[in-house]
Amino acid sequence: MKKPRLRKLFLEYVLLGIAVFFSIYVVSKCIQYECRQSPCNSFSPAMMGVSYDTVLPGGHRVAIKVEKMSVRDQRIEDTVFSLFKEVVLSKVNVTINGGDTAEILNWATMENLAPLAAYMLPELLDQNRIYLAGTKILLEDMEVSLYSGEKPDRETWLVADSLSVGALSDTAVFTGRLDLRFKPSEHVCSSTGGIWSPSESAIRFPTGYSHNGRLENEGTFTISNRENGNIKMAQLREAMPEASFESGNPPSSNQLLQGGPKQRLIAGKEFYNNISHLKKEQIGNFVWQFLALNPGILQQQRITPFQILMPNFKVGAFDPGPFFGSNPN
Amino acid sequence: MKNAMLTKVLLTTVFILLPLVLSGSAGAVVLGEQMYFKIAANGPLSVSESGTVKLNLEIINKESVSMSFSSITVIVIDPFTGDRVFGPQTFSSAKTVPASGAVGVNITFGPFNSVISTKNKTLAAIITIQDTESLGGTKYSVVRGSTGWGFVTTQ
Repeated sequence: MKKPRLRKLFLEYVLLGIAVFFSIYVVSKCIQYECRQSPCNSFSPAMMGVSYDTVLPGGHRVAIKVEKMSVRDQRIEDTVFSLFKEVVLSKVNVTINGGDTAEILNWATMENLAPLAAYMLPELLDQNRIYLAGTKILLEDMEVSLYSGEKPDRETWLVADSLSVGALSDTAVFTGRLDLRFKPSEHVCSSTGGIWSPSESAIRFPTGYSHNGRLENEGTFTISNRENGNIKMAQLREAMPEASFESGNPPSSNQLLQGGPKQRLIAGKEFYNNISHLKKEQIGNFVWQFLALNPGILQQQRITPFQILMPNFKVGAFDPGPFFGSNPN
Repeated sequence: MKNAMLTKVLLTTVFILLPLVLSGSAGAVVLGEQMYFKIAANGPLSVSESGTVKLNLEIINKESVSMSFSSITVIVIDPFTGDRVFGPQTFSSAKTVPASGAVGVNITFGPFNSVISTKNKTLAAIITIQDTESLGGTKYSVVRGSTGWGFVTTQ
């Protein structure tokens, strides 16, 4: 008597369960379909008024205030690349209590900004997510102020229209206006931005810049020992004949001996391991779009022409497989 | 009695979690999803520095329903130095591709800037295909497929 009742109850429960299963499955699929039909994951609701305090490796305190944070797809002009996300931090105000100039610029990397930007894109903290490699953080309308300790008031040290940092990139790219002040009265500015290279401790200006009111051609402005008045200048043409705005310089052997570039949030090898299990077509889409957005990424990852073109010299339909040392199907 | 309770708990967990796992997370980015088109390219393997590249593209619809695209964009990079040597140049080419079908499109782009004025440089043309989507009254060209074509510069 007891067993048939139990069996009936179990059967009812299973049937109800199957109904719940299909309901949840169908609803989930519908949500995904909606997202696919419209670029709804291109833009997310913005988060307003975020504050974040941290400490630099040298022990100096940094306070960041962001008026608005949002996530959007990366773009080149009007073309939207939905595989690649960008966390946009608008009206960024940074206050630093002391610190070395290069130390502060080095701090503004993906690795250090990720905990802040993860409010909008929690996946930024998950190193196994493949698209982390293509994610960027963009700081718009940025102002950095410094309490030097010598003066009671803070002084504005850096003003930039935008600063873009990526997980795999060794460099940080300033676009638009960049205005940088040094002590006691040194001033560097550009209306078209520049590229900060932590390994060289220098900003490369691809289209010229102004130094203390004097116009300079395209070149590299070294920041090391700047505060001590030990100014070093190097012309871009001498250092790297074919550099462009998107590209980055590999570190010199001397710089590598001094500690090399700052460690990245996701290492190149880890990136290859993560991507190598994907289908060839998926890799193809990822690689080509990633290269369109980051033309200098192979150079920065120390991937040589030899590695790209082996085992066979291939032109024509470029095979993305050799980019990653494997040829998965 | 205890076993029946345990079974109920297990079944409830399976019925709720399994469909979510099977369907995937709605917000997750999956490589290859939203890439409705596959592009096959044919063209020259060597191009003079002042010349142009003519590519014959075959655009294949991977979906089981007909899909449309509105434009094709070309960006040429030097993958060894990281220079963007050309583009983006967008070609308006609105077409509807039948389910699992293909259409052919010819594009011509170039010449390139002086950065490739040396011979034997290997360059990559990145070709993306876009669909126009509207959000909040603004139209966006969203990439729905991509490929790369390599060629060597000659004098």
